[in-house]
Amino acid sequence: MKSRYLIFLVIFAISIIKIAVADDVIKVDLYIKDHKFVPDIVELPTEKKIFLIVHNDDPTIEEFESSDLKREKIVLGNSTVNIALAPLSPGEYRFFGDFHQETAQGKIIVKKKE
Amino acid sequence: MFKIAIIIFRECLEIALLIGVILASTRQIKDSRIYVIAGSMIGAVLAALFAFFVRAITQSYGTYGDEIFDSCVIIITSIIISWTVVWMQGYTQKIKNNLGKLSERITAGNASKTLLIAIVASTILREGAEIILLIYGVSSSALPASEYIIGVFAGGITGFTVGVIIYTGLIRLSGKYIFRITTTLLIFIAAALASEAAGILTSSGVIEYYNESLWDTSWLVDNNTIFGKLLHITTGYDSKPNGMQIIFYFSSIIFTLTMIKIRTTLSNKRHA
Repeated sequence: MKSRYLIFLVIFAISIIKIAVADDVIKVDLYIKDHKFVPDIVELPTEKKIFLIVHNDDPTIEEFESSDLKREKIVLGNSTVNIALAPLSPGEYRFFGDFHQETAQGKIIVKKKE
Repeated sequence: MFKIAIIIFRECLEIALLIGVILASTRQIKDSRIYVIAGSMIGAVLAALFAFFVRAITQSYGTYGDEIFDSCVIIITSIIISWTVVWMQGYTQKIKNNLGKLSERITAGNASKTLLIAIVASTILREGAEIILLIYGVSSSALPASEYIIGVFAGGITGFTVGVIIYTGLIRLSGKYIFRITTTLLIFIAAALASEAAGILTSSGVIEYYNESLWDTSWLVDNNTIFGKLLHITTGYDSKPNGMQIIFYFSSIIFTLTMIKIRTTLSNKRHA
């Protein structure tokens, strides 16, 4: 009997989380072309969750890396990865392609909306 | 070619460092080399499988799956390292108790053999998958084959050399303090990993507390320089740490120290 309640509770909890995830998300497409980010400067508002979709249009492998965002993720040639970010506080967040650092540089600028 | 060498070298650095320290600290254990080799092989196979798996699902679905998986692997590695440190204290006691027959090598229990294999395997899994993907990715690009083969070898050999230097350096220089030094190093490495996991969890929004950066020392040492990277692996240095990272970092250290304390008091009681 108890376990049935528990299952309901878990399902209920998951559905709440799902709703929370779907709410207030900004999707940003970021392309890698000729070892450069397009766009290389992304402006975003505060207090919004961000969903970075990194498309690698080069045939070569790249790693999206950012010590400011504390993330690194491999993007294979001609493929896409998703990077979920919690709401950011105002400021600049540099990111780069770890395997082509001399060209693949970019930053996210987070500004408060007036 | 030079670029590939540098990238491969950077990826090898963490493996070289950790395995160098592990080899130095387990030198007295019978057959420890065999377990390290077994661990490397298991790690390499897992890394290859993982690389293939990543290749198969080029598009990653869902929101948090990857982040949770990544941070779980990192936290497990951190726990295995802490556990090894705690277990190592037990066998330094053994060495002290068998001072007369120090030439005899100490036989390790089954649990610690598994531990040794796991620590090496998990390190190689984490870094190795990246190396395999990188080599695969480069090989499918337009670069001439000879160039990237030379690059990969140059990077790999330099990484390996660093490992050998760390190993011999530890053994030569630290002498009887070897346990103290390797223990301290490993405690910091474990804490560094815990903090890294906290960074991923807060950045992706899995954990939404204490995710503000507390300070910024990137003007002093930038995370993206080789020195910054070394500091990051050995001490967990982060130029812009957030509160959760610091909580994870110190929890890991305190946890390991407490376990060491418990372990040594227990074994002291046993021998008293």
